[in-house]
Amino acid sequence: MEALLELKGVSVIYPSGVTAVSDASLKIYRGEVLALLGENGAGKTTLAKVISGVVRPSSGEIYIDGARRRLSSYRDAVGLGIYMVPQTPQLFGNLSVLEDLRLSLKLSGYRGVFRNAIEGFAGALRRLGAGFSIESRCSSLSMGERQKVEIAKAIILGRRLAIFDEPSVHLTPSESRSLGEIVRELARSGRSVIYITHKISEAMDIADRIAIMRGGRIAGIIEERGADFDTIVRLMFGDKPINDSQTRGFVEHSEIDPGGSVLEIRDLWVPGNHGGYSVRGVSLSIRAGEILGIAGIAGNGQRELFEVLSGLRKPARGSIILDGEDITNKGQDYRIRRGLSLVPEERLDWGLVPGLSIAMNIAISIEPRSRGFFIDWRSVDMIALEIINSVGVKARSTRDPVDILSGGNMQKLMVARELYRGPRVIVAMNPTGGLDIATARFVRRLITDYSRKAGALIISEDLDELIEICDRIAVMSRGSIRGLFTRPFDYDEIARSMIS
Amino acid sequence: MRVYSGILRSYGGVLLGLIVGFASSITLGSLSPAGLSGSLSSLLWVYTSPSPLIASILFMGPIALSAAGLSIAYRSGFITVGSEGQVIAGSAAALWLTAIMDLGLHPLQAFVLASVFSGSIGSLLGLLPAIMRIYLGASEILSSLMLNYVVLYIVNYLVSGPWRSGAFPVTKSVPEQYRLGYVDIILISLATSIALYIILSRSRLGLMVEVLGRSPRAAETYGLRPRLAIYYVSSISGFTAGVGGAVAVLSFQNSLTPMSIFPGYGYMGALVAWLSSNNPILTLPASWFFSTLLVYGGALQASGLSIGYVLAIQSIIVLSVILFRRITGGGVGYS
Repeated sequence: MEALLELKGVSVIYPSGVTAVSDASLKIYRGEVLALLGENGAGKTTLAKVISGVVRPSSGEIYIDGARRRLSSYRDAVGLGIYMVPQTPQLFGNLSVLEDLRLSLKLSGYRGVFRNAIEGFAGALRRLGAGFSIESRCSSLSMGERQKVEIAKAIILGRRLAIFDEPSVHLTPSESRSLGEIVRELARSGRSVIYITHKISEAMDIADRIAIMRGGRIAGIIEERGADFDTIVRLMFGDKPINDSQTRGFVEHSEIDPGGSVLEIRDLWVPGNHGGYSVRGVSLSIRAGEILGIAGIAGNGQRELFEVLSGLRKPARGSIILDGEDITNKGQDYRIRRGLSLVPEERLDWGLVPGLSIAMNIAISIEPRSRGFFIDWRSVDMIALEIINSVGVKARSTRDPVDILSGGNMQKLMVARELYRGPRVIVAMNPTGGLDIATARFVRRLITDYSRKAGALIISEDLDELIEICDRIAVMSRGSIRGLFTRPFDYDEIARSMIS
Repeated sequence: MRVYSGILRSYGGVLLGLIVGFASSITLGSLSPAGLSGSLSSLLWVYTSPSPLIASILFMGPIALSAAGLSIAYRSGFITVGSEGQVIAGSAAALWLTAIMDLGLHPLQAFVLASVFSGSIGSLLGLLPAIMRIYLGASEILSSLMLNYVVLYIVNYLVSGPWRSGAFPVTKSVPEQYRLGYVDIILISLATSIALYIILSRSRLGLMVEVLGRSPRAAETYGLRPRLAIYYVSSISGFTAGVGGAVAVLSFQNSLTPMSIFPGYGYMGALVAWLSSNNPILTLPASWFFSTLLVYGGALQASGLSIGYVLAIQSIIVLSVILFRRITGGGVGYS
């Protein structure tokens, strides 16, 4: 087989001095699916960004069709038929899905007929089960919906090589299966696919070959299907002792007798972006020491529910009671001071502010609550250091910009910051989205440990996760609660009510 | 290191602008070789002789004060250009207090009172576009721009009507004892820049501004009160621009005449803030540079070149600075 693309000794050192990829050499053949497997922070995304022209390597060479190439921008790569679906979808929020596609086609120097491309795009969206019109504004879509747009774009624009960075994170199991089929078809038609994942089973299912990354290096390449699971685990995690509970991410659930209700939602109706109601008469009650999960397929009102609880959106009807006090019409600042902590779905730009230091990002939700005109940066620094050390965020200094952290480290930082304040209630949306097993487990443990003193509302598209950590699970579908389940959970029953 | 390279790149741009400007002038036949050497020697004169240097420091006052305030507003994502009107209103307010009313105050009292008065009027003018943005969703760029015209015509009316002091439409002059010298201007600009830098880097408001400018949604979610922050930055930038107007009238303007076009100090402040990456300390050298361009323009005019030609050369220099910074890497501003 002939290599479509070859990397020779590629290293990426970020300006902060962090080495994200070191001396990586890799071949990608025509018509194959190559899985790039590794923990968060292993360098998978950075390496893929080098291939898609977003990040310039500090050293090393890239060959395409045997000729050395310099990919110095996204456009260079797209022009060569290389498209990457980023982990967090990056669409033009102000444009419609169709306009976003047209712009991307133009930027990529697409030479085919636009109408055909658009038809192919719409077809791909249908196969992924997208229930929105391509005239919708990108900013009105949920993360799962945006992810589908990105995947459909990759099918059109990744004429030679499509790269998917953790694509299944925002998809339901059945949608992931359709994606798997699409990926196999792409490979059969002669295209190459790089599939980035931290899930071993996913990599084994989908890929022809698996390249395993650890600590910025290619730890090994599994050349044949049917590889041994243990070998992969060893390559991925090195000689760290991995026991079963760690790979399965099991968190012990203690039976706590829940106290009085700390958060009560009464008959909540929330207007949606496209008219009508996105949340329709939801009533829930969370007691101290309890974790209540909200399961459901993305786009069934979960995001609106999160926004209304955080105060970003006004409900049309109903009330929210925090610790006995009606906060329905109170501002965000007040809610936070009264003991509400928020873990939004999007880490950067919502939970954390790009371009600002770790210390400033800690100050965002901790410092404004104190009094006085000046911020005591020395004490913020100490808190930041304490948080970094307590959850093991890999950073050299609290002055480092938050952007250089890996997704897993960002999430640990954000969750730990929200818990540091000692909230009464934690409201989190997809708190482990896109994290590897070990980090996801760590984040869940942070939340479950803390929830003994408080209530937690976890909105998640990952049903396994909810089953693992929740005391009760409410299923949300088309804006209403379709069922409330208690332990022991019946997976199939919950899954059925999600699609009812 | 980054600061030095930024300044170096700006001066590289000036050089490029001069070369482009003069080369095209000679090609087009609008400047003889003799005229060129005259123009270059006046450039040298601007940077080496005491009197143009002092003039450039005086002109720097309103530019630097506008730019310092705007740097905070721009960081928060509030893109106002109202500084022009605020400078004009500030000048008029200070003139009214010191020349028209003449309360017989101690010079220091007069300066403090004029600054507070002019600054407050600037703040009020700054708040109007902020209120319109928050309650009506109006773009502050347009509303502040339009407000500049409103201010210009009101001041023109005052100057040629109620405040007119004789046969010609010119007001009384600020009495000698109230006037400010170049040392005063340096101190006032420096103090303002340092104060704003401290607010930005040390205060709760500074954090609000940084977060709001980068992730408005994070600011809202975590209760950083974006509306309050916008009121603060709009009134702070209005205040400093208003004081800039007071400083202008107390130092070099001394009296007002009707204006047919905008004097441009506030607009230059906006450009300066942008070119200095909205860093209130860096606005100082950048403002001084722009005011040397003003002085140089005056010198060219004095040597017989037409005002249109002078403005063209100045514009080419400014564009070259932007272009040069762009091609030598790094952004144009707006870090």
